[in-house]
Amino acid sequence: MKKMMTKPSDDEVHDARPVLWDKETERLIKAERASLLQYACYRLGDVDEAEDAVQDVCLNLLSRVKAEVRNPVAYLYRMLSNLCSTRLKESAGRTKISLEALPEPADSEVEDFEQEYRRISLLLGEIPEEQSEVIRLRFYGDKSFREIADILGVPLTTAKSRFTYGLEKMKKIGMRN
Amino acid sequence: MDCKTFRTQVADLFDKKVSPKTQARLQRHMDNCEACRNYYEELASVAYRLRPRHSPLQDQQKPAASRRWTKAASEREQARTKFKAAAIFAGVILAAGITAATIHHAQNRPAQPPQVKTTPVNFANVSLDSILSVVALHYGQTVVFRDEEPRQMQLIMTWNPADPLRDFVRRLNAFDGLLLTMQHDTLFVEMKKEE
Repeated sequence: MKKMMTKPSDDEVHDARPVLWDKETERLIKAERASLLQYACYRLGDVDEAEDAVQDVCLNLLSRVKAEVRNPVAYLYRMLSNLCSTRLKESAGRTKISLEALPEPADSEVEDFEQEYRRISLLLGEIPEEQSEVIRLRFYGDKSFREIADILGVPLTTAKSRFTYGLEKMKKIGMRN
Repeated sequence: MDCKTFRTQVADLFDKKVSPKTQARLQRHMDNCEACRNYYEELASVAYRLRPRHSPLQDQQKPAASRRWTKAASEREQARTKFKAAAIFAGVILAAGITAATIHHAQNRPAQPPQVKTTPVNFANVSLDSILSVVALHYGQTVVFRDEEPRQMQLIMTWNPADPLRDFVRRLNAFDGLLLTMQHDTLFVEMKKEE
């Protein structure tokens, strides 16, 4: 279900804060929307749910007083990551992916997004969450390692090493299977 | 640079933007260290499997990284991507001392081959299509893409024109999913079929 961007969130009603939609915020959201959506799609596996999640975090950003958010882009991705994790947990029962359903590795002629999502989710599910999150932000959020470090609140070297360790681990798993 | 330093910095090659200085430093090490080159190529093959290729947002505005790996795109989008790849490629070639005229000749397959160059060329996120247009010309090969997908694969690698063609083909075949075969004077390019 789509939400209108003008609709106030529960937080806004509770806090009675006006929604701040200035040109700067609008430009920021416009610039980030495609990356946010793609990131959410590869987290949730569903375009409609991804759009809902992105709109929720954008509304949340708009409801904040600007001074509260020092790095709005990092804030958006942090919020979206948390929101996706929550929604995945909530829907774990109905969308559980079984190993039997694992499609064959990327055959570009037959694979569609659903199969690709399941294949990638299973691959990323084999490595620690902190490593898979860096990989998701890099490939699906199209973020640089500097931006990823800011989003996750870790040193740049940590973001890079998590990425490398994640790929290394998946390579070892791939060789073992 | 030693191997330990290379492995702590190899992530830079997967960053959104790689500085030419960093790229050159890491590339120099790979040129002299087969183990680290193999290590990088293994990571690159895993990364390739994770790249979004079937994003449901194909018809919407998307980040550049995903555009590189998306097979189905509008003609306008393809033209834009090609232009971008060509621009990067032109920079690489010019840096290696090969003139823009060579690129023009490569695209139009002239009867006369260009002068033999022996300066190694560093390809930094250049499409396979563009890479092969110059490499194949150097070896007097015709390129036939049996699948369209490999054309827009963006690769980071070094090509030394002094090396035999089979070495270059072997290194390309190390990329996950990619299969190049040589038959007479033709290079066939396709996606590796699952067994």
